[in-house]
Amino acid sequence: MDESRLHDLLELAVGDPPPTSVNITLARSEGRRRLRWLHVYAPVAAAVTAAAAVLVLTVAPFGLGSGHVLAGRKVKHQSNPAFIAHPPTRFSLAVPYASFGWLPAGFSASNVPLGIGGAGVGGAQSAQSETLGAPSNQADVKALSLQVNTAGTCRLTNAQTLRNFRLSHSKHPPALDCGAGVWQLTSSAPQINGGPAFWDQRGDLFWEYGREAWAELEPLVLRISPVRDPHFDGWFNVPARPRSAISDGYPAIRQSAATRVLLVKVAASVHYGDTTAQVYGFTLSGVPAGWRSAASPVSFQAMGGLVANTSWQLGPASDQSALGVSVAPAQDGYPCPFTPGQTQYVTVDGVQASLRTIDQPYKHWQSLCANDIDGLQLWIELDLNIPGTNNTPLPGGAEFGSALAVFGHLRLLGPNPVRWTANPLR
Amino acid sequence: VTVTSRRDDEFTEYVAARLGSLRRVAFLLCQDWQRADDLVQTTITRLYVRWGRVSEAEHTDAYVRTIMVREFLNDQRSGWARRVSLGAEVPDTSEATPDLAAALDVRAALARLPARQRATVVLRFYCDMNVAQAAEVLGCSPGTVKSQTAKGLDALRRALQTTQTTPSSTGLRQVLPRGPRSTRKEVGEHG
Repeated sequence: MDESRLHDLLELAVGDPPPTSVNITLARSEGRRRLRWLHVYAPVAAAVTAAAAVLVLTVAPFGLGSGHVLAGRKVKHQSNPAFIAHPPTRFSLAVPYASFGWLPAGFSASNVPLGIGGAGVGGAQSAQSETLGAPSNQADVKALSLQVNTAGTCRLTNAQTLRNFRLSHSKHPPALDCGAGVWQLTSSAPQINGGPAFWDQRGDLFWEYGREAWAELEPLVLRISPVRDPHFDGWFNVPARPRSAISDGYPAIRQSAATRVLLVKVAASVHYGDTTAQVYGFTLSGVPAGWRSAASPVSFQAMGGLVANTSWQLGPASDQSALGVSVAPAQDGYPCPFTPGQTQYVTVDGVQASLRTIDQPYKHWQSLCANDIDGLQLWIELDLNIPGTNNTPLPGGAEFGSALAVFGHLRLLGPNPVRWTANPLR
Repeated sequence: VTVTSRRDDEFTEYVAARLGSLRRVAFLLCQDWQRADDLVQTTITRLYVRWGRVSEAEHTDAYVRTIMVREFLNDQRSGWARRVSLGAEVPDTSEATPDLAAALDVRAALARLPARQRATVVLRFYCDMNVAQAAEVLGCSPGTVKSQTAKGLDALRRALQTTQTTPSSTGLRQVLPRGPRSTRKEVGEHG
């Protein structure tokens, strides 16, 4: 076969591309927004290495446990009450489903003001994540990110290779396909509460916490100081191997034995089915009839022992994320952006804020951002029409005709989460 | 220069330099320029989130293609992709040159392939990836890539046979492998 000719024909088949609608600036701003929810700002704590050394004696031995049979796509599990027989197929938007249990010294969910950041609960394809941080120059783990998927979201691929699966001996290792990403599994890990567990290329730990439901624990190391730096670049799992050992664009990481032991113990103690409702730093009145909270990702943080919602959306059925309200401690967020030609400064409650308006065919949108209102950073994002339509008004949208109008219906509850509410709609 | 602005500059420079090629690959996958641009937009947004890690990798292009192809395949699995057809127009071929006519036949035939087969063909014959590289991007075994390639080319050939009475298919039959011997050769190929 003349493959080069097929290449040429494919090139011809592409033809002349029309003008692009790809917007790099938009990708950056949306990417920054996502990063904002992924970032962790945690106070300095702890000696993880020492704790890990102690824990070596307390966890299960490495390797597939006896009685663990991997055959095809179905995996038999040891009888273990901690294994969830009926994991949820949807997560609640109001209640984080999972939380850390045991944590190494220096990691704490209760006394870390912003210890948990999270994103994404709701639909069957969505996931829930939490992150704890405890920077330490001695430890090789500075933060832990926990992501729990709903039942049925992930599935093992290349399952036929699981039967004899061993990391370095498997030429075609299995992968865990979670829809949003496919993770290449590289070795087996000790069972977690009777369920199978694996390490992936990046050194993350994946385990089946309930029937057909998978969780991920990602150990992160600190790359750039997070000390209240607005340009904090986040936590990254940087390669532990030299660049020469990195192949195919994926930094392959093998954590130290002590770290792996630590991660297994953290994973084994994760709590599921939590019932602590989130609290909100605001109340909102005048919500149009028929508008409901969106079944799309939300974010939350641990604040003062409470789970605080930091990104909330609602809207009519035709645009369930028509309105987004994000309220979080002022020092944690990125500064409000200024987009020339779209942003203007306004004064709300005596504080300068930026009001950005996009008024283009098929996109009519407004945002209001204030860096610090009584210790809180506020973002309001509002679709002025149904996205993708040419000026089709939002059902019931007259009450919230602009981001400033929404602000008029909003009451901020101050920086102390103890005074926040579990019922923001008034 | 702040860390963020440096990161943004590097990201912007990288994406701007590769935007054209990313769009072309996306178009071959999606068969529609609007959807292709959406795919590229989603891809570069995800790329930005991971830029700190990606920019240090030696094969950034491969990483980006991986994001794009998996995003495309994930999207195809969603109900939305099955329900919605944007109905891209196929250009008039009446005055096309033989090469262009054949290319348009390829495009129409490619559009009929299942998403995974289409992605495999595009990766192998447009992105010029070998079997191992395509397997890495698709997250499957090389054997699967080989079988998908064989099936994809076979389907292309069969699809094009239905148009062989039209002038536009002229050049095509010379391009695609014919018969079981060619198919076996492709399946047995090592990347």
